Amino acid sequence: MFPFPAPLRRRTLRPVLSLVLALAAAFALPARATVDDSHSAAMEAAVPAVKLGFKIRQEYWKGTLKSGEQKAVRQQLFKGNEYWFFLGTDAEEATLKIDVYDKKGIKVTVETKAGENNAAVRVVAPATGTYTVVFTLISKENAEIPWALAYGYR
Amino acid sequence: MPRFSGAALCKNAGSTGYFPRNLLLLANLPFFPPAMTACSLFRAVPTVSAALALAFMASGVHAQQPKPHAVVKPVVKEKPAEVPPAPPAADKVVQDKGAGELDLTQFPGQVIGEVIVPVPSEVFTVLDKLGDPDWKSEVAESPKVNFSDRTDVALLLGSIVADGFIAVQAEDKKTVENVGRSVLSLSRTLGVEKDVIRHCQAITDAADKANWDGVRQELDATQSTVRGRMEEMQDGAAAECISVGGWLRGTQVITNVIGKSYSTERAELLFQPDLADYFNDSLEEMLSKAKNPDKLKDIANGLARLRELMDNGGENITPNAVREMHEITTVLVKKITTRN
Repeated sequence: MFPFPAPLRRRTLRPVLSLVLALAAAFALPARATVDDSHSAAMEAAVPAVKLGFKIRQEYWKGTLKSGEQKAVRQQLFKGNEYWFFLGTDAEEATLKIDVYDKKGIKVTVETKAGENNAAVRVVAPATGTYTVVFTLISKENAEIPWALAYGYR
Repeated sequence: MPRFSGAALCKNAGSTGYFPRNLLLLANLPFFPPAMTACSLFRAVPTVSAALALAFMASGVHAQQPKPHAVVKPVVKEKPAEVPPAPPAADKVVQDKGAGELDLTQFPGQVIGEVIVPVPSEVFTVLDKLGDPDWKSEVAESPKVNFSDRTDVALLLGSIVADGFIAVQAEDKKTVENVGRSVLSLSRTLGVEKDVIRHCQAITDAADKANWDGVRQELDATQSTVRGRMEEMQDGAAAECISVGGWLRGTQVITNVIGKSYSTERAELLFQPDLADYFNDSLEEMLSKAKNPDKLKDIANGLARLRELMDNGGENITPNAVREMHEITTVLVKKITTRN
């Protein structure tokens, strides 16, 4: 079954296994950290809103975009609620832009904020219905830029 | 089916864990209870990953150091990128039509077709602002029924989590605790008990202290954890049933509350046709796999009718429409919470 004797197999596999584990860790952990850092960046933008009583939804959405590409997310909002959407990225020197539009494509953004690697937009839903959150990230790097989107409401 | 199936988008239900840039900062936020933060971190590094991390550290490479917080400043005017980025393809960007308008029909980006389903507390927050409904009369006893089919269990779980939100509105400790127990039992059937147990304990603890915001947060977290775990288990279709069950039970109660004290403003809360569409689409995939397709067909038909009533050609949702929506959801919730 094995092309080499069992004792040799044990001796050889142990360092090989360690090397594989180390390599896997070297490549896998930063990948996880990169994407999650985007969420952390979004959460940094959320701190002032939390102090004002906004509840932040635990679930968040994430992915990657090329520089300049747009992404849209549709969301049911309720009249009477106030929302903050928080966009974060791990990319250095990225410019983030986020806005919210109603079903007719009219911007309903009330306020925007931008940080080092995050941006946020506040919306007071003028009517109950589906809205579209449109965002884009611009960076000198044209590779896939990680992003994370979260929101809070009160 | 994951809610978002686009390759570039992966919904994180909060259960995959993460390494926040500044743990202390997050631990201080009310929406990250300390236990949850710690658990998230350690869950993100199960035994194998821990071995990997140790090997990683032994290799001389260090984990990322926390970066200083980014200062959030109001935008005065749009700042151009210091280094001109590679221009995106012209057909990938929808230009603003001016006056803050965007032609969404021409949007070529990766539009996420589905709609993000709100958490129940978003709706209850609005209702609280519109008055002080008699939530106590809306509290229901947790159904005691055993299902083996995962779709049935997921629908029931969603409905029971919604019961938890209603009990919170009514500040009913006993029902909240019962909901916690039922959720744990159903999670066991779904094979996600270990992930949920800490939430259930937190729900009970928060209810004991009458920390209703804490209970709401934990109920949100419970639903999100179960959904996330089920999606990891390639059981996204059943995960969607949790949302369907919760939404139907929530709509049943809200239509009753609105019906008792109707106003066009209150009824507007029910304008959720895209959600009804979204759930209906989700059910299509489940129909082929379900052991009890009749139940799902009934729910799909009910959702189609709810969608018509919600949209109403752009007109206000009438008292009659609210009544019919309540009747439909009552029938569907009964199907979800009983065997026959």
